Amino acid sequence: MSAESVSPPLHLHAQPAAIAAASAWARACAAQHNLDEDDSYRLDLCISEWVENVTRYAYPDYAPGALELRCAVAPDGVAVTVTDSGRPFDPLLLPPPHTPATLTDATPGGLGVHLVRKFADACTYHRDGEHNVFRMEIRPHAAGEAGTRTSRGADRRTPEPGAFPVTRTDGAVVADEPRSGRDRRDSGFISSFRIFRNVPYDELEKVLGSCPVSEFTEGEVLLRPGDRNQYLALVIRGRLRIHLETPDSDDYVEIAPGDCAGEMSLVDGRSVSAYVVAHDRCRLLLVDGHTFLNRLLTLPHVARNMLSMLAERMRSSNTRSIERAKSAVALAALQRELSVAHDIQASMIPERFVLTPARPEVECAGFMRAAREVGGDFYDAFYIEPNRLFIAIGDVCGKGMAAALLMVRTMMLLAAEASKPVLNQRMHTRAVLESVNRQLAEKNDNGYFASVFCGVLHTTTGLLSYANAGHTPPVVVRGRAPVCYLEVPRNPIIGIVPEAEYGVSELVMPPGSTLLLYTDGVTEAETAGGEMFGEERLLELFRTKKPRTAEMVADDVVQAVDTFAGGYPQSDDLTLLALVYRGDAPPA
Amino acid sequence: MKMSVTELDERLTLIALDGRMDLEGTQAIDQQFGFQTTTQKRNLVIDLSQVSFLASIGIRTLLTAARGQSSRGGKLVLAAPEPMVRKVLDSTGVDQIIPIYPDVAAARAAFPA
Repeated sequence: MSAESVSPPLHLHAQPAAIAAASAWARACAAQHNLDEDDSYRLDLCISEWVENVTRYAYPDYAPGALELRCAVAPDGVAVTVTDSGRPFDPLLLPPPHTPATLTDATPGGLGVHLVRKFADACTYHRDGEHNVFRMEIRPHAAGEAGTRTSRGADRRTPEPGAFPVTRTDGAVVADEPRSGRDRRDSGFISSFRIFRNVPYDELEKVLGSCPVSEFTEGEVLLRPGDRNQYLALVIRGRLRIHLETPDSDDYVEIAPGDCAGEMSLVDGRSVSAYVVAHDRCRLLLVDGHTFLNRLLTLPHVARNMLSMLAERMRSSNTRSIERAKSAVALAALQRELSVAHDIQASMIPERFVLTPARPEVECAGFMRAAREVGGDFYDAFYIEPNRLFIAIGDVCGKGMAAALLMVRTMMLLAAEASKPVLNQRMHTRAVLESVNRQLAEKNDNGYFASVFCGVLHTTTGLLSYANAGHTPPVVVRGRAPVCYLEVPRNPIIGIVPEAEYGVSELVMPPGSTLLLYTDGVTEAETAGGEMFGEERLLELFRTKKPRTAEMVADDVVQAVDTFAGGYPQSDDLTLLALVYRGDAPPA
Repeated sequence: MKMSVTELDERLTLIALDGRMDLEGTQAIDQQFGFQTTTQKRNLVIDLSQVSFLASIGIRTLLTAARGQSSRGGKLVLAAPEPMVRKVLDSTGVDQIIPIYPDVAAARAAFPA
C-alpha cells in the first residue's frame, strides 16, 4: 500500500442518500487497498453504520450539515476518519445494547454503533473544536478472530462492547465502559458532570468530599411546592421527575444522571415551585446551600457551566411550549376539517329527510345520526322513472374519515348505476349491485367493504323488487299479515369479490304497507349495562304502534332507541329509511 | 433489493430476499415485506442466501417481522445467511431470539407437519 493509492476524501451532506454514497466509497477504498471480501464487508458496514448514525442524530432535522470521510493507510491496515460538526457524541461511551431474552423484549435499534465497535479492529473518538472526529481501523484478516470470538455462546450471553480497550486522542486508555462499575464517585464520575466541566478535579474533591450521598426509593417525593429547599441534588444513579401540577401528572421533566435539581430555589432563595419525585431508585449527592453558594459556585467554571445549563433548560422549555402551541393549532385545523366534512355529509344525507309532497302514493322518511363527526352509514331514495322509486340503505365497515369517504363513493356509484337506463325491470337492482360491487372491489387495496340493501318500488302496482348485499333485512308490515322481517337473498357484502352475483326477490306491497330499512345502529344500540335493543324489540314496536306517516315511523323508531339507550353514548351510526305505500288510495 | 414469495405448502411460506439490506435496500422492500410478514399469522422462512450485505437497519426489519409474527402466533425463521451476514446476526444477538438455519431445507424441517 503506498501513499499514492489513498482515495480522495468524500464530502457529503448528512442525509439518507449519504449512506449509499459512503458505502460505495468504502468498497472503492477497500478495493484500492486490496482488502478481501470479508474485510471489505467490515469496512462497508462500519462506515455505513457510522454515517447513518451521523445523518440521524448529529444535526437537527431542519439543518443537515456536512460530513467528511478520509481513508488513509494505517500501520496494520486501513483507517477511515469521519468528521462532522454536529452535536458532540462519543460512540465509545455508549453502553453496549442489552441482549434481549425474547422477541417481545427486543428493541430493534441502537445496534449501529455496537456493530461498528464489534467489526472495526480499533476505534478512536475525539472532539476537535466544533467537530466530532471518529476513526475506525480495519486490519486485514483480523475478521477470523473476531468471528470466532462472536460465535462463542458465552460471549453472546454477555455481549462485550467490542473494540475496548481504546486509546483516546488525549492519551488516556479507556479500559472499559467508563460509566459502569460500582465506585463511580471515586473514579471521578461526578467530576464528569456538566456542571463541573473543566473544573480541576482535586479542588472539586475537596468541596464534594464532605457532602453526603443519599438513596431514595421509587416514587418518593423529595420536595413539594412551598418547601424550603436546602440542597442541590446531583443525580448519580436513577432519575428524578419534576412535576408542576401533581406528583403523578403526565407532564414532567426528567433529570438524568449527570444532571442536577434544586439549583433554582437555592439561587433565588425562594420556596420550591414544583414536585421533585424519585422516578426509580435514586442515588443523589446532596450539596447543602452554604457549600453550594460559597464554595462550589466560586470554583472556576462552575458558575459558567451552571448558567449554560440554566440557559439550555430555558430553551428546551421554550421549545416545549412552542411545540404544545403548534400541536394545539394542528388539532384545531383537523377539527375544522372534520366539521367541514360533517357539513358536506349532512348536505348529502340530511339527518332528517321526507320525500312526499308531489307523490301522494308513496311516502319516504330518512334519518341518520353519525356516532362521530362523520359517519359510514347512508340512505338514499329517488325516482328513476316517473313511477319507479329507488331506495337504498348501506353501512360501510369502520368509522371515521376512511369510512365516510368510502360511504360517499358507494352512495355515488349506487346513484349513478341506479339512474342508468333500465334494460330489464326485474333485474335492475341486481345489475346495480353487481356493477357497484365490481367497481368498488376492483379498486380496493385496503379491504374495506359495505353492506347494502336496495330496491325499486313500482308506485302504481306496489311491486318491490330488491337485492341485498349482506345487509340486515328490513321490517315489513303488510295489511293484516304479522309484522316480520323481509326475506332477503343471502348475498355477499360489496367491495371484496368483483365477480360476486346478486339475486333479486320480489314482494307485492298492498296499499297501507310499511317498510323500514335500517342499519345495525338500531338493533345494536346499547344501554350502559350492555343490553342491546335487538330485533325482537324492533318488531314489537311495530306491533304496538300504528303510525300513519313515514315520518312518524322514523320518529317512533329513533325515539324508542333513544329511550332504550338512556343517553348512553353509542358507538354506531344510527340510520333508517321508512317507507309507507299508499298506492292509489286517496291522500290522507 | 428484491423479494419473492413462494408458498411452500399450505402452512409454510418462503420469502427469498436478494440484494443489500442497507437503508436503500430495506426501504425498497419495506412495505411489501411488512405486509407479507405482519398482517396475518403465518409460518415464514426468510431465505437470506442472496443477501450480500446486512446492516443494522436490515436487522430492525427482520426483528420487526419476527416480533409481528410472534404476537400473532406465527413463527419466522432465517435460513442460509452468508458467513459475514451470519456474523452480523450473531454479534447483535439476533441468533438468540430468531432461529437461524444453514439452509432452507433445514429451516423447513423445523416446521413439522
